[in-house]
Amino acid sequence: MRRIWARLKGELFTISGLRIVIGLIIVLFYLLVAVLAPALSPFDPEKLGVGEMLQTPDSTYHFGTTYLGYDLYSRTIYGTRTALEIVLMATLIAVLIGVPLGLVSGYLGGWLDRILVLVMDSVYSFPDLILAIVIAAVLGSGLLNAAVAVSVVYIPQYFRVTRNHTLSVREETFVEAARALGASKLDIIRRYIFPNVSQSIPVILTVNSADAILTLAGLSFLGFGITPPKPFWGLDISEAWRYMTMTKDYPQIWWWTAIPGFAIVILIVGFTLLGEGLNDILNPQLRESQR
Amino acid sequence: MGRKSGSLLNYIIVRLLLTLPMVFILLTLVFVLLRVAPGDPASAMLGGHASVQVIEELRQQMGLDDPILVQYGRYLGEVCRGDFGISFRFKVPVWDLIRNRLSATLELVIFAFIIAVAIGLAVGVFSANRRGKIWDFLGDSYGILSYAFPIFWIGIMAQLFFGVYLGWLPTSGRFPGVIVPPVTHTGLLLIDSLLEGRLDKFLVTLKYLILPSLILGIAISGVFARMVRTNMLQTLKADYVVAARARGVKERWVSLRHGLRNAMVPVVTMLGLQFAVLLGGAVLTETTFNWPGLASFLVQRLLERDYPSVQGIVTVFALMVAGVSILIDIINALIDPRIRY
Amino acid sequence: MNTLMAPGTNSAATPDAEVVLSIRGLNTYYHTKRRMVKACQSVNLDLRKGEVFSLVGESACGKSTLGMTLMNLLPDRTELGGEVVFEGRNLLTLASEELRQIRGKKIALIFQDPMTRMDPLMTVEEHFSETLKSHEDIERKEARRRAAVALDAVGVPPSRLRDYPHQFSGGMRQRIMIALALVFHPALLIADEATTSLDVVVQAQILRLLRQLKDRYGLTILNITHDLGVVAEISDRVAVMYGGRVVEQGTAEEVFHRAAHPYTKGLLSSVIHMGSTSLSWIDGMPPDLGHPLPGCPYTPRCDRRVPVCDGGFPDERELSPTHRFCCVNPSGEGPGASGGREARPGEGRRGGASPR
Repeated sequence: MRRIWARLKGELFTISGLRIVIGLIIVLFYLLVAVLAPALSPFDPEKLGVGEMLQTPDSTYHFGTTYLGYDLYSRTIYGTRTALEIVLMATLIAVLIGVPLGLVSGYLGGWLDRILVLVMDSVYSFPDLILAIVIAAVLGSGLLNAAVAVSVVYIPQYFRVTRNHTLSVREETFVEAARALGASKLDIIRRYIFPNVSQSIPVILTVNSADAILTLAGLSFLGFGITPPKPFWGLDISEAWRYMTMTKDYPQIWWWTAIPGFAIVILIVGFTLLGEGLNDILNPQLRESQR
Repeated sequence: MGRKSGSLLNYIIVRLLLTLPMVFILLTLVFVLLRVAPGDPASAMLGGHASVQVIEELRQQMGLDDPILVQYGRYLGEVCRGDFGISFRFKVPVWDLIRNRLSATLELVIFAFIIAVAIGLAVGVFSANRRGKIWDFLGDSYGILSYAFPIFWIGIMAQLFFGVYLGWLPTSGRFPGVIVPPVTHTGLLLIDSLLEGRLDKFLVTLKYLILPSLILGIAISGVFARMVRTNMLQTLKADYVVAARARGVKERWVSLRHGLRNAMVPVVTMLGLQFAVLLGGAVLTETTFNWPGLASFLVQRLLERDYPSVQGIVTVFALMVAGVSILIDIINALIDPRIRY
Repeated sequence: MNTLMAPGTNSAATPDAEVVLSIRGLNTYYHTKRRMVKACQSVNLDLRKGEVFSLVGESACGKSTLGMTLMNLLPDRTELGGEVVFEGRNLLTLASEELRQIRGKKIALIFQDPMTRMDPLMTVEEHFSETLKSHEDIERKEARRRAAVALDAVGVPPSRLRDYPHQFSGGMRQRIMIALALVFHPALLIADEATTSLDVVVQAQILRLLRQLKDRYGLTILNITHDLGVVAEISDRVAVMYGGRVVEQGTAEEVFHRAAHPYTKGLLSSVIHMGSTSLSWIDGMPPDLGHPLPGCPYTPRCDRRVPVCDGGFPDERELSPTHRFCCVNPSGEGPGASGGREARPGEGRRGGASPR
């Protein structure tokens, strides 16, 4: 960990450093909003009819209102909560399952490894969103179910990365030495392999989070996982869209679709920049700015 | 070198055999998922008011009371025969429902893919050749933004702008109801209309196709462009590039023949993975644009708990993904002689 | 002083032979993020028609950089100074298109590792045709014919034109690279460590091939290497580089038998030969070209150094019209041991010699 910090400090003023800084600012901002949501939003996001239907944005309803009278501003703010909660849960699940499996599979090898790789590769090669919606449909709606649906998609990634890294660390001499000293397999994995392998996890974490938001948005747009009246941006867009196609009442309600969309985009950009910046610094093979 | 075609064929056969386990696993996954579903499909279908007896009858009919392994075996057998069962909702063979919509999805996906490759190559090569300058930064930003903007959101914005505000393009559907669609040869309306010799039908099809496939294509192109750029930058530093320059080879040839072609090898592999992303994106695109394809159909079937249909559609998708994977391997073998020999 | 083989017996070049390439005051500086690396400084060399001129030195002494500089194949942020005159023009100031037309056609370059220097996705024939078509407007059939002729000249069966690089052995690949380099019968061939990665037998074959081709086509060869054995075997004239500078040059006979510069002497005495009972070496490490010393770069390792060595790089001195060197205290004159150091068994540290 100290190594990473030292490298970060040295690179702060390069493009990579800039990316990390901007990405971090964005993510932390969203985090802050999520934590302070009750204080920041003037209305209860799930309360019907706090305002007139479809009001344009003004001083009271900063982002306007929806067809059912929800305040979009409050909903957008609380949306950060939903988003970050689910992403956190999904990532946790994926890491808790994917990483240990990767470690064990990579270290032990044999038929267990072969089967796991086959399964993980098959899941990995299947379209993310389709897998997610099938699982979400099967499990039903709810935050935890949505998180599980999203997590299954990412388990193979954590598995793969961990396994690959384990494979290379496994051949290091210090591991061989530990084996010669009679350390048990579990010990070796826990004390030698894992600390080395865990280096690659932060980058995957951030990039996956970006993707998870996207998947989540898609899920909710289609009507799976998160259902009204829970506040989430994808859901808002979906409702707006259904309303538009039904009533053809387009121009008046541009804010209903546009604003939640921006909320999604900015968070994803934040995570992506953070992940890429970290990647540039921690994995300098593709160091381009060596001028 | 007569060996050439021989080893290529062998390679194809080997790849085919290796994909079988993957398909098998995906099919099993589908099966397990749908059996795990809480709630009883039979009673869900019949609604809450049917008597226990009727429900029981339906369950018998659907074979839901048999042991899991028997059901599994039956499922696999059916897939091999191409029999996906009967849709709960529509009471027709699932395969019929799939067949009609499969070509719609294929047309959308193929067109989007072509657009994505075109944009990706252009942006990728362009920014690789202008490393460090403003174009490079723009190209990079394009990559990030095209990925970050959700497909459905861009789709809606595009509908609002081009469809409603400008009125240039239709916002939903695949073909207007008032015109007779071209005779079905391939199921791909673009080709069918050309085969029929009807330019007007071709143009109409294009009008409906352009917006959804553009949106889907752009969404995929970003990642592709960045991959092309990264790989090209690497290959342009390669020893054989320097050696080629030392021989006085024209710069354009160096960049394209040596740089791009070698960069394409890992990129082609990645394209295979992108196909899965494309299918996922198709779900959103088809829903947003009311495109009568398999992907949007899946969503509806899921919401209505029509499990045989879902099973069938997901199986088809799994086979498509596996098929593309084999195709990619073959293309790779064609490009890179080291794999064959 | 014995060497393995007798040098300089194949000299076709005389001091009056026509000069093919003239290098005057060449500087090559790399600009990296943190510092400037002076890879070559004030290099003066002449290459004469029909000769084999060897450039010797340890790793990172600037010799490879020199080869790349002549054809300007350097990365973008490189500062070049001085002139390289070829056919009456200064190559360093040429427009890129003009330079491109010279590369491969009038001046050719072969490299150390032929495997990485060929595009794995292209057949041998395609390598030839792209080279040929970049310089002349010829048809595919004609290109194929010329490629076959070129391959034949280097001993590769023309039937293998359609094969891919990975299907050849190392020696064959280097032959193909030579064929590619000579397909236009250039005036100058620069061989940058061309035999370093080959085993001894293949190396001998390649050297013999180069000699034959040189005689046949009247080629001038600039041979860049760190292998003194190779130098001894084929060179007419030799230049020794250290720390980015040419410290001594002369005919092979002069340099091998009457080396003046302490570094040259040290280099020569560290060659292992039959009958030696002890090892000889030069203490210390090659200099960091990113932080060059104000004076002679060899000073820290030199056992003949004197205080004035730190002041500035020595001026050139002549021992003969062909033999020149840059040293204020060369071997055979003045204080200090006569070059090189021999270790006797059991001796651990250096004794005697100048105190630090």
